[in-house]
Amino acid sequence: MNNHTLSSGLDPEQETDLGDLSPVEALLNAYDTPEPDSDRLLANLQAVIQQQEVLIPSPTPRSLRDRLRLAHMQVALVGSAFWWATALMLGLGLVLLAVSEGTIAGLYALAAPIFAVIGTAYIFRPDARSLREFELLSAVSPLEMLYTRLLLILLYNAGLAVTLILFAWSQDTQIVLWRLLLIWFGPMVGLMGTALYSLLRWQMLAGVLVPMGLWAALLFLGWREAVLHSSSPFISLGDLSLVVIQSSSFLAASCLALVMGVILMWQSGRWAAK
Amino acid sequence: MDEDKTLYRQVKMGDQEALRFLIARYHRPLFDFLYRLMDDRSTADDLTQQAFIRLLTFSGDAPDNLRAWLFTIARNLAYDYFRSAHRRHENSLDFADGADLILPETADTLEQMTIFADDQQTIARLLQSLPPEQREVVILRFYHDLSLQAIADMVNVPLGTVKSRLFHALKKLKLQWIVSDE
Repeated sequence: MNNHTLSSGLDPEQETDLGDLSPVEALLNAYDTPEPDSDRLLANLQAVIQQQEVLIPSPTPRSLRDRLRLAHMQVALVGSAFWWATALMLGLGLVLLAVSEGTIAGLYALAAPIFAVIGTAYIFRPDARSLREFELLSAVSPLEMLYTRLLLILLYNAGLAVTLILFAWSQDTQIVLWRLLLIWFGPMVGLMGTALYSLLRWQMLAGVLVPMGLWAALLFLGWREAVLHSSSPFISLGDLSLVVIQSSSFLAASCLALVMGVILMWQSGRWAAK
Repeated sequence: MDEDKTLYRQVKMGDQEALRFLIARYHRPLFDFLYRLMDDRSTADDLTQQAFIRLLTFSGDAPDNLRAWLFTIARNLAYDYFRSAHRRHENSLDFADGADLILPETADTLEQMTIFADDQQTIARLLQSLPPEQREVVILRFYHDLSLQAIADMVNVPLGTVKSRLFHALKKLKLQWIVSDE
């Protein structure tokens, strides 16, 4: 049976408390099991293998209707609480931006990826593992599901943000709409692609550290750019946003981030499919 | 571990010999684990088969530790079963009633057979009297020789929790053994 006593590995106090366990070990040793029927199992599994082309995800491309149905199922699976929480976080950021002098909103911007990491850790908590196992058995490949979810989150955030940006633009005609959209959208897609690629390629730690490091670097560069154009090293977040929007180098960097994000998402898919 | 990964890939490619080898290697340990956890032969047979089917239809990467992964699947299936049994207003701890008895070849007198059958029923009853979380730790530790850390990884709880479960399980087993011996 085993190579060590039942209580080995327990704390010394626990071992002392348990005392002599040889009668229990003798009793456990006496508990035999019947011989399982391996031939029957083999025959049943061979039957499953013969039907496996039904079980293995189909390589044929899905129709648009199927893709929409898949997206609808994913939305139903996540539940409305997730979408409300996302909108709430975005709303909270905007309120802080509007009412604070800049410090709290800046801290919130810095901490935003941490909220994202906490949310992701909650979704993939150990209790949800059986769901993942179940998903791996479904006819839809995990990669397809991942892309569908990414796209849903991207579209949802884009929808919310575009609405708010349009509102901001209607209030201040000095803002060039397409620049604002691109400067917002590029880093988001870039960060999303980086997070996905580093997570799939180098596991959890890199998946957290790399995008968070990039996010911090983006904020630092934004602040530096603003300080270079200002007489004072202390600058409000509103002024910072204006400088960033007007900066051509930031516009170029956002375009680059957008392209890199798309490439990294595509590469992630290739890596995951290996 | 690498040998298991190769074996798994061969099975996934439809290699019948590899499947035979996989069954020869893991059928017995998985069945034994489930049998002792559920104390019901047909349920153990059914869940063992389901665990293997999950292995065949799994569409992710080959797991790093096939043995641990199979045990984790089997455990999850057992817990799903406990939960559904509970929903059907059955008591998952009362499975010992229908214990299958395996008589040893050496038991050739009626008296020996009776003593052996009594032992089997006693230990089955003792084990089944433990909560499933404690029972599985005793089974994995004693019958499958897993370290406490390996059990903690498998059942996704801290090492301290596994120690506590094992401690309380052993304490109960010892106490009940003393009572049943008297």
